[in-house]
Amino acid sequence: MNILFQNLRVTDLKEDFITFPLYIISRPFKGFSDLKYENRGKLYFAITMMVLMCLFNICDETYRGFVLTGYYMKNKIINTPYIIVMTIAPAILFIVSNWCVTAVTDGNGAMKQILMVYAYASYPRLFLNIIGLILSNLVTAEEAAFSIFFYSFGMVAFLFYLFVGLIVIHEYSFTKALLMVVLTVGAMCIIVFVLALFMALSNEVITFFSIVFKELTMRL
Amino acid sequence: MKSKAAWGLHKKIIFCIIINLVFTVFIVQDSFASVEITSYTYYRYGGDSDDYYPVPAPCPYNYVGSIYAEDLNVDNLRKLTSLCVSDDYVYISSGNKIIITDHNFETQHVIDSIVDNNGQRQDLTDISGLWVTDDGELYACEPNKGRILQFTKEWKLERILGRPDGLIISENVSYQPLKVAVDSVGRIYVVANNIYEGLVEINPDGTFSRYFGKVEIKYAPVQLFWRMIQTQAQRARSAEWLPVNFSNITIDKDDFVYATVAGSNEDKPIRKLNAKGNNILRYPASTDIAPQGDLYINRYGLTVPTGKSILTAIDINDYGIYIVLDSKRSRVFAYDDDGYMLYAFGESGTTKGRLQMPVDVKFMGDDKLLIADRGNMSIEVYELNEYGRHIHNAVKYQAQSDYRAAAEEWKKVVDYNPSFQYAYVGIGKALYRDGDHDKAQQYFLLGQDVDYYSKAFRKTRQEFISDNFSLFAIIVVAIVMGIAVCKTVRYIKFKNQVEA
Repeated sequence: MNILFQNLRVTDLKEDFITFPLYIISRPFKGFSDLKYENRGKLYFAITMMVLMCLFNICDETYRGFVLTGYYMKNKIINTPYIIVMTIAPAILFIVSNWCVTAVTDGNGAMKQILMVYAYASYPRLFLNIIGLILSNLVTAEEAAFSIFFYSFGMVAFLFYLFVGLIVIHEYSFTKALLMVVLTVGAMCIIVFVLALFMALSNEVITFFSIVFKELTMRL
Repeated sequence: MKSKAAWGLHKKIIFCIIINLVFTVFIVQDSFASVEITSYTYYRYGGDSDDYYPVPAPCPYNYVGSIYAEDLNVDNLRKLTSLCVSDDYVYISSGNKIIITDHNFETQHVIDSIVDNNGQRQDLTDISGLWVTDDGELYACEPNKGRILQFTKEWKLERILGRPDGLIISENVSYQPLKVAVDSVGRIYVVANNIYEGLVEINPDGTFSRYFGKVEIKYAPVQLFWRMIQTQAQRARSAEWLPVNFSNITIDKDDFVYATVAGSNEDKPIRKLNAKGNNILRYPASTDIAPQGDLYINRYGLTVPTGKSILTAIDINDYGIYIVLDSKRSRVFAYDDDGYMLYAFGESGTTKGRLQMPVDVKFMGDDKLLIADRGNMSIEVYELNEYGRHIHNAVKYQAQSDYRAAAEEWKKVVDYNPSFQYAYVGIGKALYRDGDHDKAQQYFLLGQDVDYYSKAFRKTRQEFISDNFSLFAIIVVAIVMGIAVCKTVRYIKFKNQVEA
């Protein structure tokens, strides 16, 4: 308990949540190498970012303006667990498959670092998306492009920072990094396929055992 | 004792009467229930193109009755193919006969043979399409003999339009006109079998004018890829890609041709063709979905067929409501001039008011609808009820730009059917014109119309800003002054430090 309090006392929230992420935005190569070599990146920042992204996606689904969504419902039903899973699952999928690929192609990044890169790269996207969400409630159909611009710019920024961050932490050259991206996408597809296969097969196994169990209980 | 027995008898009689009454009430209700026709409108619940859900709606038409062959004094209606309605008469083509009745279905005349130019009597073969001009001239397609027959107002043969001179098709393809429509200056538009270049437009003098309104070929990228890597010899041997042809045509009062395409993967199966032959049918820009019959399709249906609607008949009335027939699921869809769906009704079945194999649909007068049902061998007659009348009136007033009167009608429509989205848009339009932008915005939101919502929102936003302009100005001035004060204070402190 004491250690926790000590940790809390030494954490510099301004440094972790404002200064360093902004530093990464302004100088991505220097910033990500600081993250790797000088331990400036924090794991709790990454986890907080994940939570914030889940929260944002829920708000996005709930409050996005009618002009952008094109449909309106007075009592909209939002599937919160689904949104949370759909935010976190792609991140985990990406991190795991990237780690798998880079582990066999001489990448130097640890899984923790990949997670942090993902989180720091989604920092600008979160703010751009929030601006887009607010604007979506203030624009007309002709001005909807302003709002959409912030959403898509956020996505582009995310991909850019993610790419730069991965180059830095894995210590790759540009061409090798491109190959790594392709392989990562391939690995993601394979993982999804295997998971789907596993689910389908385990479903049959479970059904089989449940039928055996039923049969036994009927005979007893 | 006697009186008691009599009282018992009375009791029995009264009991019987009551039972009878109860039963008759039930039976009457039951017979009403059997004529009830399913009807629905679509409700949008998501941003995607297939996020539509059919919501039950009151049926806009009441079933009046079926007209069978015996009512028309003919043998049978087994080969019913098409209907046509003029101001005075109804024309029915059934096999080798054209039956002409008045609007009460009293048979006036039957055409079953013609006397050709050589003075010889010929029996008609199967007639597939009919058209009546405003002057009362009747055109009939006879595909087996490759000709269109034109009759005068007195139903005497006027001329025979055979294969038009100058028609450019290969010699071994026979010319088989299936459907015909004639505009106000006498140009004849023909849907012909095996002709994929579009409609055949024939000059009033019977010569070929041009092909009109082509249907594009639909193919998948994969097909195109395989076609690309094929050799000439393979290409020659593989099946030709042909577009789906038009299935039916009609002409509105402004001489625009409306045509339906009975393709299974057609995005825009209803075409409104301008003089150049381009499709100019309007549809709501905010949803970007063209009128196409059913939007919600059961993909794994057991009792109801799956897949998109197949539209085989179309008719349009004076104020722009057009009605199309989905022969796949025996349903009728109505749209207004802007492409908003007004109602859908009908289902297949053998009970009263249901359809088995509908082939044609036509408006009769202002309040009747006729559906030719070949499976049932009858003409089904429907009459617009209160609800349907309000919808039609509202659209009529909108076509006349009388939005206030239209809004009153839409309000009544909403009373019947609160889930009818387009009605809210109609009310909103009137409010918007009256300057009540705030309320209009709410109605457009209910009607889920992005474009009109944006228009109203732009106005309310403007009003909000101009109402609160002083507040904004004060906030801006306060911020600027705050910054200035901060800077001066810092400057003074800094100066003091330097001096010290």
